[in-house]
Amino acid sequence: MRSVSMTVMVLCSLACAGTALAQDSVQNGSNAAKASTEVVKDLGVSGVQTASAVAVLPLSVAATGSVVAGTASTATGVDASQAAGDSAAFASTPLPVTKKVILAQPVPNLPYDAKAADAPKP
Amino acid sequence: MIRLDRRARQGIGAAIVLALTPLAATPVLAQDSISTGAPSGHFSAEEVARFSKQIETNLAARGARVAIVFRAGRAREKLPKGIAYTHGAFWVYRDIQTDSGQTEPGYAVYNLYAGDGKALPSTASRLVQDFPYDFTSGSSVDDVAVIVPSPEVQRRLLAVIDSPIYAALHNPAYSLIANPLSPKYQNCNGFMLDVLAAAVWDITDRDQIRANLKANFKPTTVEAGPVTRLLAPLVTAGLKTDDHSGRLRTATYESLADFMRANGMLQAAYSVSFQR
Repeated sequence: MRSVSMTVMVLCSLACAGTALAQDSVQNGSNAAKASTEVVKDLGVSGVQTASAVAVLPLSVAATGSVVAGTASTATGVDASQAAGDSAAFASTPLPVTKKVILAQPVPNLPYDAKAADAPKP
Repeated sequence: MIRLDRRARQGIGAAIVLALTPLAATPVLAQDSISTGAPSGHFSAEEVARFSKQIETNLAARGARVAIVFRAGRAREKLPKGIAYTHGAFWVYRDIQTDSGQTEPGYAVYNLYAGDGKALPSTASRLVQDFPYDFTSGSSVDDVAVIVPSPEVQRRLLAVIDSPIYAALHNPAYSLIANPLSPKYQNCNGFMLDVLAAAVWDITDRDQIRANLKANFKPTTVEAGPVTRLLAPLVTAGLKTDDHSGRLRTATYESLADFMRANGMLQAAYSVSFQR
């Protein structure tokens, strides 16, 4: 009986470790809403330049034309044949990158399963 | 020999099942497609900023307009054998307009994120565009993996990402270890695989994408015993196994890189380590 109890105890303690691991990701998710303001503060103290993104713009170069059916004109307004011959240059020339760290705007963090305020109470 | 009555046997049995259940889930937590934004604890905010800029600079120096980057959201020793990274996303070179009215060149990150159970159920996912800082903040290790597709594949990927096809390929039914050869669930890597398939085969029909992938793509096998397989879905809502027959298989950095390498779609696959 004692060995059975010990086995159960060992398994339970190992299980607690497993539970903690499973919850890490959820904790990360709940941190997201407060991230932006705190991150800007933390990075500012470290001397890191930040910028808050408002919009991401599609590239305006000809090479973004599509060979995927029906998407070329929709996505970029560029004829596919215009771009077809130059894909190697399109993705091999070194590109400039801003020194600033771009931060996303805070995301809405509303519960998905909120009950209606006037719902009858059980 | 100690004889136990029925109630005692049942009690011990229940305790063992309860004890084993969380253990069972751990080995199959092969993905972590969770939106972060705050450092996971492995890096400070400043380190996240430096590492994300290091990755951006690396990609830009190669001229990569579209890359696929993978992070490990869990320590390596906690990942199943053969799986080194848990979340992947497209990094797309863009002009980024900031709130000061300036335009900055850099990368935007296109993710499929699982719900956190609060703003979205953990059994569902959504497509989120954020930035390298957000992506890197979820890393629990000092490296990321990078796939730079061939220039032609980059161009095709960009065309799909910038079209309505991109969102149409999203299946919000989420499983951590979604089988990429089944249409039932999708995780981050499975979604990227579908986008890649649409781009390279120039198709949008999901059944045709599935058929082509079945013929050409070999997913990574997730090491999991029968107990794990049985109990894991009870523990983690976002972990389903009913889309698998036989062994558990999912799309990973490794299987995506192998697929692209074998079919001439790869320019480079490598890891970038944080320079502390």
